[in-house]
Amino acid sequence: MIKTIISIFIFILACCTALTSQRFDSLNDNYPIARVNCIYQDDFGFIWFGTRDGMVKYDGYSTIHYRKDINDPTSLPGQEILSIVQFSDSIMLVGLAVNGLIQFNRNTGKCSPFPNQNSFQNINVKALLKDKKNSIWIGTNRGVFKYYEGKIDHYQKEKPSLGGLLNNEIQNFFEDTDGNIWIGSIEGIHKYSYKTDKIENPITNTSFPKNSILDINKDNEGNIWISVNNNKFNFFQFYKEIDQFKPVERFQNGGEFRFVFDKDDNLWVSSDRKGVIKYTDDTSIIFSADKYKEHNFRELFTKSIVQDKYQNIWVGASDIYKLSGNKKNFKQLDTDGFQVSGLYADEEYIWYCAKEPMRWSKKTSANTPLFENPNENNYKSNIGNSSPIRMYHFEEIGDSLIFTSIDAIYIWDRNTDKAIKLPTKLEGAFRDFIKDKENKIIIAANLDNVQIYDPKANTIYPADDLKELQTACAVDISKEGLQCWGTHENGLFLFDTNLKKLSHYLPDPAKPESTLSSFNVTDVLCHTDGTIWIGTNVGLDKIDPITKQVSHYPFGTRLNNVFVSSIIEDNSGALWLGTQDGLLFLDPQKDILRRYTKDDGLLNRIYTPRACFKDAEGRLYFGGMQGIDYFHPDEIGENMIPPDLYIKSLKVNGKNYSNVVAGENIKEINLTHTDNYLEIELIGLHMSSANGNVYAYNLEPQINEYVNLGANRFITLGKLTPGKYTLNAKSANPDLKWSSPKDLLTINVKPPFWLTTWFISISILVLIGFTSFLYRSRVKALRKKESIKTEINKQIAEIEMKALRAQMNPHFLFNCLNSIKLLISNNENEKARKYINKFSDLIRQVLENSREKVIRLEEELNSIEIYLQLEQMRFKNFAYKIEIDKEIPLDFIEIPPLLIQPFVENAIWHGLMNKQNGEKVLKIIVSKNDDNIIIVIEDNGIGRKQAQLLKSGKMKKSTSLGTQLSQNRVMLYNEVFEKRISIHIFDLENPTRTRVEINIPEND
Amino acid sequence: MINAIIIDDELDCVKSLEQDLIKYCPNVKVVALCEGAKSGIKAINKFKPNVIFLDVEMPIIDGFELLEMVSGFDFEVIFTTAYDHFALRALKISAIDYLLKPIEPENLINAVNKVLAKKEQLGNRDQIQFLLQHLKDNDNNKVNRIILSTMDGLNFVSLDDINYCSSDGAYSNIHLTNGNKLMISRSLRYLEQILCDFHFFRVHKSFIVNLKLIKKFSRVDGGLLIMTDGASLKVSRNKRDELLSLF
Repeated sequence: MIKTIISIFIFILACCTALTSQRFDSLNDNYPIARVNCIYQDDFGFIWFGTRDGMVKYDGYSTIHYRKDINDPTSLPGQEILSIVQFSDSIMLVGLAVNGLIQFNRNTGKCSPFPNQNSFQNINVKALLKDKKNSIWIGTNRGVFKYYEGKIDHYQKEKPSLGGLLNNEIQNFFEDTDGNIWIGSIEGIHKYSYKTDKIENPITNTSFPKNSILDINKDNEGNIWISVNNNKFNFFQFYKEIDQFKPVERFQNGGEFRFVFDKDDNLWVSSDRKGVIKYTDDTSIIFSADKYKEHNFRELFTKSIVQDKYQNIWVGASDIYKLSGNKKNFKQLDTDGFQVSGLYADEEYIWYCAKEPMRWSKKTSANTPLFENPNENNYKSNIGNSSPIRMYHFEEIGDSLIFTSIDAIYIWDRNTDKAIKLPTKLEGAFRDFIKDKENKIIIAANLDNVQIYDPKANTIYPADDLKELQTACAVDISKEGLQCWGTHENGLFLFDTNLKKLSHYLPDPAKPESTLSSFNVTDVLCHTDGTIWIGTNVGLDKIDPITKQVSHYPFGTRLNNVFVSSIIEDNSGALWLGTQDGLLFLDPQKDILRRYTKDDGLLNRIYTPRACFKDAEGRLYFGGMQGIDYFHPDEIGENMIPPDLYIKSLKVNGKNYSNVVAGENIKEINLTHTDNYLEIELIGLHMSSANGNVYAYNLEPQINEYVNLGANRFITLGKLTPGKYTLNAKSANPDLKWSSPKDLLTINVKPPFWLTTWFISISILVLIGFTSFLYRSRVKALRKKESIKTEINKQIAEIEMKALRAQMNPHFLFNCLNSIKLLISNNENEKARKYINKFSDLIRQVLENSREKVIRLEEELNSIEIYLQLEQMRFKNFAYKIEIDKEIPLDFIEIPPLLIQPFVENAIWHGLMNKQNGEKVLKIIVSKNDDNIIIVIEDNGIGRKQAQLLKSGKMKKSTSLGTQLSQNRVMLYNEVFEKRISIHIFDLENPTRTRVEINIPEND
Repeated sequence: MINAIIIDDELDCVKSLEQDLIKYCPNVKVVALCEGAKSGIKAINKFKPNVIFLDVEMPIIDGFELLEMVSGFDFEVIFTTAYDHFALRALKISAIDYLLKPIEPENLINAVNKVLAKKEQLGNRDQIQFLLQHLKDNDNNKVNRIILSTMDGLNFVSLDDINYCSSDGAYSNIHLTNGNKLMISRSLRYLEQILCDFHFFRVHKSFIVNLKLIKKFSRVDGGLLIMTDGASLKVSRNKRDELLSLF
């Protein structure tokens, strides 16, 4: 008997440890990395591991491994990496065993000596630090080197003038908040102060051992702690006031310890024998290979422990372990693999069932559950092997819990552990029950009708109104008294207790949108706002309180087909759903949906149907396959540190952009217009949960609204038109804490040459040049034309004078006067008077006309007629004839003055006058031919040839002046007035005639 | 029988005209021969002639000035002139006939007959008043009216009232803005000589237009002018460029 009790006790101890879940992630599950010597987070936020086989850069998504390659002189010169520090954006300094210090260019992945070829040959560089003044501290087995602006100071034991070291074997550095550098050696600790520029008195009080300093760090209050390899005490805290270290007695001794304080000021210690130990105020938890399953940590020998800026804790051992900084304040009650089927919690205990039998755990004031053994015997004897499914406490029945099991209903006194089995002969499990407004308990009997338990009468009877209702498994009652029943195979029933009306809801494949999503209802919740929420094996449905319409809650693609196990309403009205894939938070008002998984620190992935409870303080409990997760919704504790965002890689037209390995250093790229396909891979450094970060970007000025990428990290940009773009991006951690937008990349797309500024400028210049050339040559041409015109005008004036003179030919004038004189002498007075009148008319006309540049044909013809009359008076022996086509508008056609007259004069003087015999006729015919006015002056005189002969013999050449002048004048006239008057002279035979044709184009 | 005075600064001209009048115009009795304007004025005042033959160009006082000086005259005036562009234009604007020296007997007879015919009408007087007024202004820009002699008599026409003129054989029509039409027994060339010193332009053998009343120029059919009243007038191709250069 005693043996049995003991064995049960041990069993319970073994299987029911309750603690806050702290499960590590092992990086080596995905990336093979050798034993880790050091862990370093650079200024960007990347994590670097120095290992026994090279160096690893990690961004939370993937690793890049740098190793020694004997074929590559620019690779790491040695295998064992002891320390790493960032020197500049692109240069890392790497301390190696034996091979000293090298600089590593993260953009190219190539190494070179630092700072020059021979500085750190054949020494170990175990510690590196960049302080706030940007000095690099180099801790070696030959003392301390300080590198600052190209200068190196060397501190060593042999140089006491600089303060002196206790030992040249340096282990570690630490910069405190005052800017002092603490230097740990294998024989004690030192402090360097910039004020004195000396390594000050090594702290050597009596209680402080001259042992190897393993780690220096500070707690959240800024106190400096060190860990020392010592037999008596391992941890010492520095007290500034007394300038001394005092041992911290709480911590056990033995072994090498390195340590870090987490955000809650818990001390995490990595040891070389016991794995990792977490010290809280009053407890400690050991993470080691012994409890691998529990913590996923399988090391005893650990070398380093570091907390990054995102609150992740890293432990370096033969593996790399990470404790996610994203863990929530979910508390766990681990049942070591036994499924929790029902639970209840009061102020003191969590009562639950994991497998069998019934268990309860006491909660501490700090809400850390502590297993406590109840009186096992009592429990066993009273309940047997019944496994509670649902438990409630109702004040009406005293300090007892009512719980249902797979075969009975019990009332159980919490103080005495005595259980009373209610009398029923029903088969099957009692999955759910609730108290109605008459204080009766209505019970979902899975294989039978609904049962009602009356506590006063202590009787159970079937509910007559609900005979149709079978296989009920979930029940809830609204404020208004509406009963809501979920069944395993038969959908949902609503029972209006006032009207005694039962309505049945089933899925209808014809109307999938407005009917239940499944026959299998897993849990129901009557929300305080009147909505009925229905959990099924494929999702979440709801019934609107007013329209009574069924609709499906859109889980989105990511959460479709979710098996909802349990639904509970928290004090703020939001829903919490236990599912078979984590826990869901749903705020229907704000339309917020969040999913919590093991990454957030949950114990379970699969939760048990209806195994949920809300206690009096609003704390929520969910039972699942691994135990119980419980928390207060107001105290989830989210990680408020946003990720740091960088470019991880950049591809242009499918090829990596330049040779840069470190995308974080790409700030600006220049593209040509043919580089029209750009792939940008973003990286949000947070490390807490690889796929939990989400991203958004915009591209000014093309895309000004942020584009949500979700967890996708790739931006594809196609066909950017020439111009300057700015890629801004932001990233959120798994708790959706967004980083502020970051100007990530400037993209310059060069225009093709025909769109470049210089090309356009040159084109414009050429155009301007060409235009101005055209303009100038036009102006020049115009000026030339103008000057020609002026010249022509001059010539015209000249010719005009000549014409006038020719017209007023002295010969003609004096002959005329002579004729008149003759008439008078002969007393032919009347004739003389006529002659004089004609003569004066002609002279008046000539004077008048010579004033004008252009006269009308009418006027010219008038002059000619007068002229002819005069000549006829003188010679009497020729006839003239003027024929004018009456259609011709003589008073409109313009000609140069004295155009015709010279030809008439010639005809008379050279043609007709020289003719000896026969009729002498001069004809002037003005006719119209198409668009031309043709003036014909024809004489039947001796012809030009004959006249020429006579002339050369007898007469002076001046006589032909008139026709020549006329030709010239017509030419000039055409030039100036843009006319096309032409003159042709025809020598006709049989009979011999001379014909002058003046052609005047007439357009109207 | 009408009394006439001949005024000219050249004695030969006076005598020549006297002989012609005696020879060809027996109805005219020459009452005084005046050599120069001064003696002319005296003779006018003394003889109160029915008609005077007045030379336009005279030294010191020319013919027009003389007329101004004999205010309130009631005789007809026949201007004689040898050659003076300006004077001829002034006469034309006033639609006053004149005799060119040396004087053709036919012209002299016609002129005298006109005076005899118009004796009762005294229309000539208005023309002279107009002429004098025009000369007094002595500024082409101020001229806003001309006198046109039509079949019905003399018409004082405001230049702005002339829309356009068209030729009608030997006659010309003057189209007024009020829609009326005046017909004169003169060629378009005669009107052209008068009007084209003002805002008129002969755009075609058949048309003279008032430039102020052109609404638009259309290139249809080689050029059409649309007047403000809607009339569309053809433009001679020869005149198109010159017309456009006026704007």
